[in-house]
Parts: sequence; structure tokens; C-alpha cells
Amino acid sequence: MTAFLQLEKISKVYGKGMTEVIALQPTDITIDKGQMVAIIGPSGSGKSTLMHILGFLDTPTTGTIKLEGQAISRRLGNSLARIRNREIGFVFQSFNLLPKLTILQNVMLPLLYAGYRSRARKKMALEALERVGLGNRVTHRPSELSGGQCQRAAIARALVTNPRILLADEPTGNLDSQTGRSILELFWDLHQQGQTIVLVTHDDLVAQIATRRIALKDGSVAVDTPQTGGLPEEWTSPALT
Amino acid sequence: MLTLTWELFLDGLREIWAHKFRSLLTMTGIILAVASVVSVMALIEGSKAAMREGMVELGGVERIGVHRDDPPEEQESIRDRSPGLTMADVEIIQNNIEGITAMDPELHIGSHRIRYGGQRPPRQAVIGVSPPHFPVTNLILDEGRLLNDLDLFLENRVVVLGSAARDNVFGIPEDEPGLNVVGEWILIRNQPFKVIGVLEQSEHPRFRQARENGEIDRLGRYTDGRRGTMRNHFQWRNNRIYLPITTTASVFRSEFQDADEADRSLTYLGVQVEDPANLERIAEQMETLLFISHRGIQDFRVDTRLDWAERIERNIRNLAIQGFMIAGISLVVGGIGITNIMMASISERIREIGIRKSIGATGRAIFSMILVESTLICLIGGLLGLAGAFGLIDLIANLTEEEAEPIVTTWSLIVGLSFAVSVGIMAGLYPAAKASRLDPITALRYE
Repeated sequence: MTAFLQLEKISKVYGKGMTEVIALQPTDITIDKGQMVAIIGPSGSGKSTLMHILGFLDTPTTGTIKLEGQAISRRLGNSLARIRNREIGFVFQSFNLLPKLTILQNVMLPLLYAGYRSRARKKMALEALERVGLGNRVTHRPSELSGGQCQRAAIARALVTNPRILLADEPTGNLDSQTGRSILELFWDLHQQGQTIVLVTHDDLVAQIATRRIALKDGSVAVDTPQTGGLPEEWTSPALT
Repeated sequence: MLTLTWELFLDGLREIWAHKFRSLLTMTGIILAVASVVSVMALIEGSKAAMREGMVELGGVERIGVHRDDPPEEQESIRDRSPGLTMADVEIIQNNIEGITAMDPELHIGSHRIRYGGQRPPRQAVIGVSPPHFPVTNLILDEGRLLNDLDLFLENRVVVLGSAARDNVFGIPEDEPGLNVVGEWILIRNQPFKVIGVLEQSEHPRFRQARENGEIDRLGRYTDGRRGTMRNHFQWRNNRIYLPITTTASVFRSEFQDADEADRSLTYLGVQVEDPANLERIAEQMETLLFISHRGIQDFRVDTRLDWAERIERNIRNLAIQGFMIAGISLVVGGIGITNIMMASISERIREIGIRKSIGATGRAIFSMILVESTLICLIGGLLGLAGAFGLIDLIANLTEEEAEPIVTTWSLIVGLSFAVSVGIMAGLYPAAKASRLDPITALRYE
């Protein structure tokens, strides 16, 4: 396996002087292609900060990020937007679909920013929706769908540009256990197909699905171990049971 | 740089449609501003056209006029050296300058009581002219005949009446205009004159148009029962009584203070030019000739119709500037309103902007999105304003019955719309810049 995403001596400090808050101690993390990584930790552990940096929404205070060996941590603004657009697929806890657009339009949106033509956009979006099992609901608006369907649409939107990393932030947090399980099954399927996935969660059981577990504590990595991963038969999300 | 796509356009329309009422309120300023810009331009255009039409009706711009004038102060003591504006000047100019088609001297002797039978004598303006006066000033014969060279040569005691003068002198009932008065004798200051002709009513183009459309009758009274009459701006021409200029000078010689001068002195000398391109040259040559014949005394003023037209157009322009100021203020106010609304709209959509950024929208894409939206608001407002302009123009035209008909030109529509669009762009710049700089993390956390 090749070193796919390398974080070298990444740290994040908010504020200056007296009000300085160290959100992330200098940290090294390497994520390989095809891995399914769970980043786990209580709130305040720095996992959100790490996720923002991983997702190129934020730049680290120190250190470099290498994407397939290429350093990009110092690049700013529009080039970060381009990386978010092409290399990262975001899945959020609250889905973050645009309520005024249909599911299809929502999924097509990243392709619009990537500069695809309208016909290609529609074809790729339909394929992505098919992949998450939502091929028959494309003209609905988010408000007309269930939470699970919305999350599937959001995953389709994350997948549509063929990103190198799928970055999911508490993807089951707003779902009941049954639906949460089906979403995790979808992630597992995607992992089987070779998709690199980073799952950020505070929920230990959700983290069990990943093949590698990184636990954060007080802004630094406390545990980093491989695990079996996958979904046990009797698994249900404990959050809502 | 803007990223302009069809999707941005649709997004903008969707956003505007999602807040229909708010968008309409936002547009109001722009609608009013564009409507007033277009209306003001239409009014200006209308006034200009009316002026030009009127000028053509009075004999076109190919005319140079010589007026009597007071000499400058330093020549006051020697003004008697000049013989004044006389028939001799007519000959000098005609014989020495190329490109003149007609000479039209006028001798005004004021208003006089005109007697006919036992009628209460009305006062009418009496003016001495030569035969070319009628064609040159576009006066048309209705019945009888016009003055001719023989009348001038023999100093015949004959008159041609304007239509209103005929009505007044003969007390013709307004609804019975057909009565023939040619051959009748009238008294002007107790001097008998024979009526040899009556002129057609001279009408301002707008008056004529209204009459031909059946909105008013011959005297300008509204046919739909409304009170009042439409004013004919050329009515003064119909109130005149025209005499041979030679007869006027000799018969009414005693009317003038100085009998010697009275003999041949003119009130006004009109010169019709063949080619308007020569207007300036001929005016200059005339000035030189008159300067010689008047022995260096500047007791005349040479005026082209173009000078006149320019003066009027300048006045119209000055009025227009005031209109544009008002329109400009409402545009600025409208623009500020749009900036304000766009700021509010961005605050509402912080989360949406965060989502868009997280899935790869560049700052530029967000910038374009907001800018396109504000421009669209103004574009739609501008289009509504154009529609509104037609209503406003109708309203103005109805309120100012007598004035010139406003004319809407394509140019004014283009100007109105481009003003609206530029205001939209200006108003959107700041909100768009602000939105494009939003930090995606903060925006995503925003509830």
C-alpha cells in the first residue's frame, strides 16, 4: 500500500498569547489508499480540527500535508476549494443538502464547480445516486425524503466527483439505529470497492466498522491500531437504543 | 473574473422567485428610477421633435433673420448716420450674395381697430409683407388671391386676412366658416382696404393632428365634451392682416415718429437660403454688407434659425438635467436598498454558502453567484421600469395636454436598462465580496 495522505507535524493553534488554545499538538498521521480509518475521541479532543485539516477546510498552523507525496498545506483559497472539490467527498452529520434544490441538483452541484458540462453532470450524478440506492428519488427535494435517504443523497454527492478520500463526520449521528446501520453498511460496501474512507465519530461502536482506529485525546494521538472492522450481525447503533 | 454560467443565472432566478415579495419591494427603487429616466428622455425627445416640427412648419431652418437692434452705447450718438434696415438692404443682399432663394421683408405697425359695417371693431395685428412671405413662411391661401408684385408696385389698398382675423372682423359665427368675404371693404385706421384673399388656418402640428383625429374642432374645442380648448401655438399667425409692404409704408407713414425714416424702414428681414450648409457663410456675408450699408452702425442683428434652435435645445437640456438628477437619486437609493437586502440575504444563507464551499465552490464562484443575483434583481426591475415608463409617459402626456407628445426612443430604453444593470453590479459587489470571503468552517457551524 502506498502512503496516500501524509500529515507531517501538523498542529493547530487558535488565538495568540494569553488566549492561545492548542487544538492539535504536532501530529503525524499517514493514511494509505483504500484504508477505512475511524478517528475517535470525545469532544475537545481535536478531532474536528483534524477533520477540517484533512478535508482542506482549514490550514494547519504548522506542518505539511502531502497528497500522494505532494505538499499542499501552504496553498490557499481557490486551490483549496479545488482540492475539496476533486479529492475530498464530505459527508456531514446533518446531511447539509441544499433544501431548495432537488436531490439530483444537489448531487450535480460539485460537478458544476468542477466545470463539467450539463449532460455529463446529469449522467455522473445519476450513476452516483444509483450506487447509493437512490436512483428512483432524484426529483424529490430533501424535505420530502427520510433522514436515511438524505444521508444516501449526501453520500452520492460526496462520491460523484470520484474523490480520493471520503470524509464522514458523525454520519449516523442524526439517524435511528436501523437507518444508521444501513448507512454504515453502505460505507463498508464502498470500502470493499476500494474507496479510502475517514470516519470521524465520538461513538466507539460506530468506530468498530473501520479497519484502523485512531483515538485522539487532548489534541494528540493516544491510540492508533489496526482492527478487524466490518459489521457484526447483531450490531446496532447504541446511540439511540 | 466571473464564472458566468447558465446555472448561475437559473440559481439567481430561483433565489429571487423564492422571495417574490421581498424581491419586488427591493426592485421598487430601480423600477421607479428606470421609469423616470426613460420618461424624462421621452419628454426631451418629444419637446425637441415638436420644436423641429414647428420650425419646419414656420418655413424650415434654412432661414436667416435680420432684426432691428439698438446700437452699442458708443455708437448711440451717431446712430442717425445709419439709414436703418430698409428695402435698399433687401436689394443689396439679393444682388450680392449667392445662394438666396427668397427675400422676405416685414413691416410691423402694431395692432389696429378694424372696422366693417356696424361691427364692434376688433384689434388685429397689421403687417406689411411682400409676395414671397406666404410661401416662405408656409402660409396657404384658402380663398381669393395672395398679394402680388403689382400690388406692391402700385401700392394697392388690398389685404389678405388670417383665418382668425377674418372671423373677428366679420363676426362670423364659429360654426359657419364658409362665408365668403373676398371683395368686401374694411377700414384700418379709417383707411379703406379691399379684402382680396383669406388664408387657411395655420396649425401647430400637434393641434392639426388632434383635429384630424377628431379630438377637437377647428377652434380647438374638445369634441368629447371636455371643457376648455386645446391651444394652437400658431394662432398668432391667424390673427394677422397682411398688406403690401409698400402700401403699409406709404399709407401709415404718419404712424412713425420720423417720417423720413418711416418711408422704407423694415421691422424684420427674412432671407431664405437654398442650401442649409451655406447658412453660416451667407449670414456672415449679410453682416458684412449690412455693416457697409448701415455706415458702420451696428443697429441690426443677424440670426440664423439654427441659433434659435440651439437656444431652445439648451433650455430643454437644462430642464432634462433636473429630471435626471431626481432619477439618479432614486437609482442610488435603490442601489443602496439592494446592497442592504443582499447583505440580509447572505446572512440568511451563511450555511448554504458554507455547504457550497465545502463541496468545492471557490470564492469566485460564490462571488459570481451573489453578483449575478443582484444584477438579475436590477435587470428585472429595469425591465419592469421600462414597462412602467410607458404608463408614466401616458400619465404625463395626459396631465400636460398642450405640450409636446413624448417620444420613446430605443436609445432611451437601452440607457435606462444599462443604468439599472450597472446599479445591480455596483450594489452586489460588496455583499458578493463579503460572501466569497466567508470561512467555510464558521459558515458550516452557523445555525
